Amino acid sequence: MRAVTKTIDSGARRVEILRGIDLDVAAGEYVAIMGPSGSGKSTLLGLIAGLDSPTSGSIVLDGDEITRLSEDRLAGLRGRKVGFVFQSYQLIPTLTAEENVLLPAELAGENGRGAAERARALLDKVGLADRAAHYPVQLSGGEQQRVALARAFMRKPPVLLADEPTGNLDSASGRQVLDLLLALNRSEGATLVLVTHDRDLAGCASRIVMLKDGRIVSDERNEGPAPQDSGR
Amino acid sequence: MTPHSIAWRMAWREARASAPKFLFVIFGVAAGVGALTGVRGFSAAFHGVLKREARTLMAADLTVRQFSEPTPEQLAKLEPWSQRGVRFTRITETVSMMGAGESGPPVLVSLKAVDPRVYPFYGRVTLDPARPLAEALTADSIAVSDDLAVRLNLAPGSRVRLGSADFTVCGIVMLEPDRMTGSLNIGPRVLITRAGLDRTGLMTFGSRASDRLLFKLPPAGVDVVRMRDALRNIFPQAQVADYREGNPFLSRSLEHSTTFLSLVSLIALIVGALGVATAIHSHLQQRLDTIAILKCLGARSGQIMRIYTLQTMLLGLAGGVAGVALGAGVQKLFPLLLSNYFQLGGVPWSSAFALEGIATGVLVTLLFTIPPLVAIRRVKPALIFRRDMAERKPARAERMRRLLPAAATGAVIFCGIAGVAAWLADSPRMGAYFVGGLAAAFVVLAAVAWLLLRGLRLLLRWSPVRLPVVLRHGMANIYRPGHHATSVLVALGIGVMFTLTIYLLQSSVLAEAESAAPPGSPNVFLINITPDESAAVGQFLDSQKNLQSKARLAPLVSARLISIDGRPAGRFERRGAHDDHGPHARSVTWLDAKPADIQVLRGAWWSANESAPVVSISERAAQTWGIRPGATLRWQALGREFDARVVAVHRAASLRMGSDEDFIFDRAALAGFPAQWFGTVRMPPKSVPAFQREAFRRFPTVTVINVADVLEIAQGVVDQVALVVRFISLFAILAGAIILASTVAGTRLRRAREAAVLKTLGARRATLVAIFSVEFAILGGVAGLMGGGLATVFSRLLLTRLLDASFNFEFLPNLAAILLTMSLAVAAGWLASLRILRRRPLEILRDE
Repeated sequence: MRAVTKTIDSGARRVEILRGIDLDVAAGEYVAIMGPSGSGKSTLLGLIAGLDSPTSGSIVLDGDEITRLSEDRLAGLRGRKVGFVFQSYQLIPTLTAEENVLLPAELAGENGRGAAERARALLDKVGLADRAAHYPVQLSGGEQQRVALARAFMRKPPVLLADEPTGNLDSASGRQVLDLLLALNRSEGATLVLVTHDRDLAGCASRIVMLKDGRIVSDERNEGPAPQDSGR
Repeated sequence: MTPHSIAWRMAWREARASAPKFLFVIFGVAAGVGALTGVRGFSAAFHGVLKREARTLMAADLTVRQFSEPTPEQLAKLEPWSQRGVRFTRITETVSMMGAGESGPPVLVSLKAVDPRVYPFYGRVTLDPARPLAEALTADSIAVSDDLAVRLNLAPGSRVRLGSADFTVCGIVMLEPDRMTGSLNIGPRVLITRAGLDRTGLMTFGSRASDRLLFKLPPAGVDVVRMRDALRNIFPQAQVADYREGNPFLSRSLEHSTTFLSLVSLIALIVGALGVATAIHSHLQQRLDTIAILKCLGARSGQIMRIYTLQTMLLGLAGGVAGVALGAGVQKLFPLLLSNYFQLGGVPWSSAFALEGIATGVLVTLLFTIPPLVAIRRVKPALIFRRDMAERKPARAERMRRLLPAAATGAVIFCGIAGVAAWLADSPRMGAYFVGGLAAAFVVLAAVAWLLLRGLRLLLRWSPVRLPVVLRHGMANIYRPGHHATSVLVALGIGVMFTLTIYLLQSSVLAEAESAAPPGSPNVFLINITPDESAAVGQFLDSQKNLQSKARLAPLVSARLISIDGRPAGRFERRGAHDDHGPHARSVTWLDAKPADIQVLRGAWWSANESAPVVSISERAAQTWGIRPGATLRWQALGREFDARVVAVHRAASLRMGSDEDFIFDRAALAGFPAQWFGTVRMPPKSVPAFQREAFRRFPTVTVINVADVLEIAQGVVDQVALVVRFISLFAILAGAIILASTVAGTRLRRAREAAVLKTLGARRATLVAIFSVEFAILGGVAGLMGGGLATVFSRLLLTRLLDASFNFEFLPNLAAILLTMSLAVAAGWLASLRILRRRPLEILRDE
């Protein structure tokens, strides 16, 4: 990311969410992005994924300049290169757990049998093989997030982005999800960028980037416990 | 798995999950499809009946129809055909007065004289009590229709007077196979034998009657086409038809009616489709998260659009299937609505029209959901993070650019509708007119809706008086975010506009007919007065004490126009659709002085001492034939030819019956020709029944026609037509009400939350009821007002520009439209909101 800014209008006022962000993330790195509420963490993640476009600046994702791509091309790129885990799971309510996991592959038109086997294998890895036919409304929050994890890894994306993946979970479920996320990341091999205000989560990262008021205020290799933040 | 299968799966499951919300939408589409399939299915079935039952409807293989008796020479030419096995019989139809004792005034009836031994060649006349016609109908007896029996309190065995003879009623006519194809059907039916008709003394030279010859061909040996051609040669002035053509007049009328009613049904369908578009829009608003997630996961806009397009198709299909079932019921109702004029047995159901209706329903639904579906492209995935924050408002140029797709989709929709209308009407021009009118109505309604919403907002903000809380909340509900007030107003307004336009046209046309006669013009006509009776009838009229203007007696002579300025009349190009100016015998009259109700437009009326025969022609005849003053017309009457010079073109200000006002001669021109006479009088309407009774007693062969009776018959026909049209247009209103209910259902969650919060803050159930009722009543009232306004404008345009009639604003129908639409809107809105009131506040808030 080079000189990336993001400004929006909220009602009558103009809000600068990100101001002049310069950030490089190497392949295979695990980067935690921390900062107080409203610092622009989620927006930063969304820009990396091409879910939104910056007001100015440029973003290169796995070799592709994404800033001026059309929405459909961005969608295709996301399908190939990005796995996303949301804070509130964001499963499709009318699809079963297995179907939710399969969705990225189906959208890309991939062959059914191989994809179905991979989906079942991923559900097995997250411990939900016996809940494959259940709908999201029949699953607990932790179980839904595990399904979302499996879905994020379905197409073996080179980049995995997670926005407060344990934010809506109790500590036990959150721990379980985090362990699964890191285990999957190690086994699948991906660049992981994780937004969190959880110090424990950030403590596992190889690098911690601190955001405040839309700017990067620190970007350090993680040698020890995560720095303090004002939290949400 | 293919992208198509996931689209189907998601489309189906979402539709199933949202079934209660979509139920209203399905009903809305069903209303339109039901009307359309009902109309077109009935029409096709009716056509099928006309074709299949052609021989029965004609009671023959061929018919010859003319307004004069067949001559002995013509009958002689039929002899060779008889020898080849062709059978024929003659039917004479006329109108007359029939009296049943002293109990009441005589009634104008349609007489049909038949030979019961052979008539009908196909089908059966059914009498009650059941008896063969040949046995029941004799020279002394008649059969009457059931409405005449009721009117004159007749039963088998009753005695009646027709002309100068008495008859016994032998039975009630329950079924007459060729009733639809008869002539002079302006009164209840009386069947009589030819001998009986002779006894009445009604048929004298020049009497008004229609003759029909029915022909039955042998099983083999005579080709129907050759027979038809031969008959056209033998009867050059007559209309000759064979069973293969069905009944051209009926077929044409049926086609026109079908086109008109199909377009009305299309309006209902469009209103229903508008409901689908509104529901899909709401549905997509509630699915924004799902759409955003799909885009996050790599779905392209096209893939997402496929899901919701499939969903729309499922809705259209469900509505179409339900509509077809409804249409089957509509099809069964039509014969009942038309039973006074057509006796139809069962009308079979056609699967072809069912499929056509379903396809039309799906197509129109898809057309109207293009805008919300295309809007999927604009959903940004970042919505997941930032729903409530808006992007910077785009520059004007950008905003205009974003309107282009909306304008393009609007154009596609209207072109699609024009195509469907053109296909239904079998006319591209009609399709263009239809969509043009509809677009104008939509634009006006949408503009007024926009004004209403702005007005409400300003009123609530700037009102100097603090309005009651019920009114404030009710009004605010109308323009809350996510409202669909515009769609509801347009949909309801279209339905009201159409129904009220039909009503206003109907009442204005009838009022115009009633007031067409300027003050002093006749309201009673006497026809079929023989030359021998003319003097006595003249004295009888002069002796009447309560006449409001001088009675008039005028002669009628039967003559045929042969040439105009030396050119044969048959070679003239006749302008105008309703051609009755062919070279056949017609009744013409003579006058001495110009009467007050005749206005000379060109030329001058003749003086008393014209040296040669002269004639004045009507404006209509002058236009049709292209005749000017100075032209010479050659005529033939009773084998003698004579010329008459055109001296004037006139216009008759009042209704003239029994005479042909197209050609009025001076006395000398028609001297020596035998004439029938007709009379006109004007008297107080209350005096007419007594006058009819006395005239019938003294001159039983003279037909006395009360204009009020004729208008009543005309009113009956217009009422029947209007009933059918209003029945179909009610589907449009129904669809509008369904949209209202659907919109209310779509915002149920928001209403429930609002109700829960208000209850928590102390609002009682009655207050909530009042708030919602205010909202529905305003929507319904404004729709009624807008629809009424548009109906007034359209009916004014149609009356003054197309129908050449005058327009008067009618307050009461407009008020009724507002009140009824308001009631309908409140009922529909409550139907969709009932559950909200029953739930406890915590139940709702806990679900949040």
